[in-house]
Amino acid sequence: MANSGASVVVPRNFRLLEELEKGEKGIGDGTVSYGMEDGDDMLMRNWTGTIIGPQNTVHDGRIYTLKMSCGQMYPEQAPKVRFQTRINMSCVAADGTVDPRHFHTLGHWSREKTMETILIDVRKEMQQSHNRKLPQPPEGTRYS
Amino acid sequence: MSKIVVYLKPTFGGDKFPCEIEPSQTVKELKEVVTEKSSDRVPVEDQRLIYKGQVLKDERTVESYGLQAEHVIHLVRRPQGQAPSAPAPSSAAASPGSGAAAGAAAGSLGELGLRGLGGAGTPEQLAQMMNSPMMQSMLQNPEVIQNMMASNPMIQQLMESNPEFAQMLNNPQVLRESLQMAANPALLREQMRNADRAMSNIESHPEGFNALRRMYENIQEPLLNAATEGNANAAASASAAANPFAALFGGAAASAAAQGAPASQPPLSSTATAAAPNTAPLPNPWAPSGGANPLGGAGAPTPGGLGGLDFGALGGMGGGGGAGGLGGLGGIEGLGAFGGAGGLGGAPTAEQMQAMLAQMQNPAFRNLMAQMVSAPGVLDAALAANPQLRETVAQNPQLREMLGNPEGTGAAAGNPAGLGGAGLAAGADPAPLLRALGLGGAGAPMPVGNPAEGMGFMDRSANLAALQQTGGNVSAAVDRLLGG
Repeated sequence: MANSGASVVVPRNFRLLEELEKGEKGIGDGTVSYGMEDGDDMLMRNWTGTIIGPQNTVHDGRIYTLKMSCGQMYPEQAPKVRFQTRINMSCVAADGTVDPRHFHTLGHWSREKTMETILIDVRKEMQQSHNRKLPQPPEGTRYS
Repeated sequence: MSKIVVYLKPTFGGDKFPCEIEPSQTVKELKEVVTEKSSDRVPVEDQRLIYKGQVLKDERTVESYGLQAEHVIHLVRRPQGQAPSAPAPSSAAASPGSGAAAGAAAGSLGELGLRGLGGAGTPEQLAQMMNSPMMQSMLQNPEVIQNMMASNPMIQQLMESNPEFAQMLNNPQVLRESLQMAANPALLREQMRNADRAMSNIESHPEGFNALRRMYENIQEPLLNAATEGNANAAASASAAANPFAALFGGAAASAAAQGAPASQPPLSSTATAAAPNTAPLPNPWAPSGGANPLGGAGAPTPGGLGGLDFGALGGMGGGGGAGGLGGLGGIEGLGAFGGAGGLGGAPTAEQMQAMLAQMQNPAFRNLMAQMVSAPGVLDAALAANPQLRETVAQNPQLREMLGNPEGTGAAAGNPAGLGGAGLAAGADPAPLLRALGLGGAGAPMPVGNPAEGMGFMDRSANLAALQQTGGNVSAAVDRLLGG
């Protein structure tokens, strides 16, 4: 039954409910996690995600928290993604926003991508050679 | 407070393991349980628990994070020194689990459904089924339902041919609420009763039964076919279990049939759903079930099992409720507007109008209209049932002609502006007519000249002038125009 709906365009709310459930059930390898910021938000707009820093990088052992905001046009349009935990990374602006121009997943968004994809790809980005050794702010500090 | 089982999934390797916890306990207490249960007894201070993108704080309670049974918490171990043991897990998060899990859920539901088919002859049994824990958990997961719908080609086909129906099926809110409604036997009974009454009213009018039959053939039957096909699947193979609704439909239909009502549920949109945007109270006293939303699909379906779905598609059937005649049939997706007593009521919104007009473009709808209005008895019955309409018609014989003439009605239906405008122009005082016709607000802004144009008088300004000079009396205006 998973593949029979391939041609059906899944509306926003169903899509988000799907992602919500996936987040709650912790499907995936556990290196990223995500869920709704406020379970009562009927618009399902604000989401929180965490990325567990990949090993063999400066991020190892750190847990990064991000906020993702899904507009009414999601999944046609990419969510806005912003780090809560301070991080030094090429695609992250000074205020923690993940810059779509420097982050392929957001810059070339398609509706097949999910918030999980974003988190996983951000995590991959942390492993890139130009990011893995960058000096980092003290662990646990946050953007104001 | 009873304990729930949550699963801890270590990100440093190893299988996930269950932990029993009371929702009112703190995260710290949960961590103590985790230490006990985890294979290498991770000390509390080394544990970091992540759930739904949040790092759980020791002092908060488990329930404050909305943690529910069966949910998964990621267990991250604080690195000891520099070299953690296990190699990094691949970051490619393939998730074959999701499909399998959904399949399993569907499977058990299908089973449930089958049992339901056998036994659910009464609303009570249906409700019982709906109240079972499995169903309840299903109710929380509209996307599973949607999946199942999508996996049924016949339902899909139906959705394609009827966008409003599709929209309804795609609205998680509506789905959830209709399912929940099915779990409430009192509400269900109430609807059954309403439906029966509406049915008998409609059946007592000439042509009414035929209209009913057509509706049944066009909508209910495909749906039931879709459902029963799913049933056969489920029975044939355990893995299929494709369509638990089959049983629901079956059950609903069975109970409905037992009560002598082939299509049992009125939409009851006044109570059914917050999702339907327009349930404003109806000023029209001849639409007794009130607030019936002619949008049909978008309107609130109410369930007998998911039986409600078909009725959503049938539109404001219930809206016709006691009105009878055209009004009674009115529910047929916006037809009510014609009938006078039916669906749209006093103040339809622009969207409603549009949806209704879209309906009117539908050839099948036009046919139906034509057949209905060409049967004189039906029109008379409608007029008899609606004093307001009768009065208006008495004042304007032309309107009667228009209603009585299939072509005229068809033309009007084909030309939305014409319809609205005709209403305006035909009544010396448009207000009662509009109310009676149920066309209301949306009709008002339409140019008065349109109906005349529809009749072949193409000179707008002349039309307007003629109408103005005759105080809005169309026949006088026509005479004037014809007379030059």
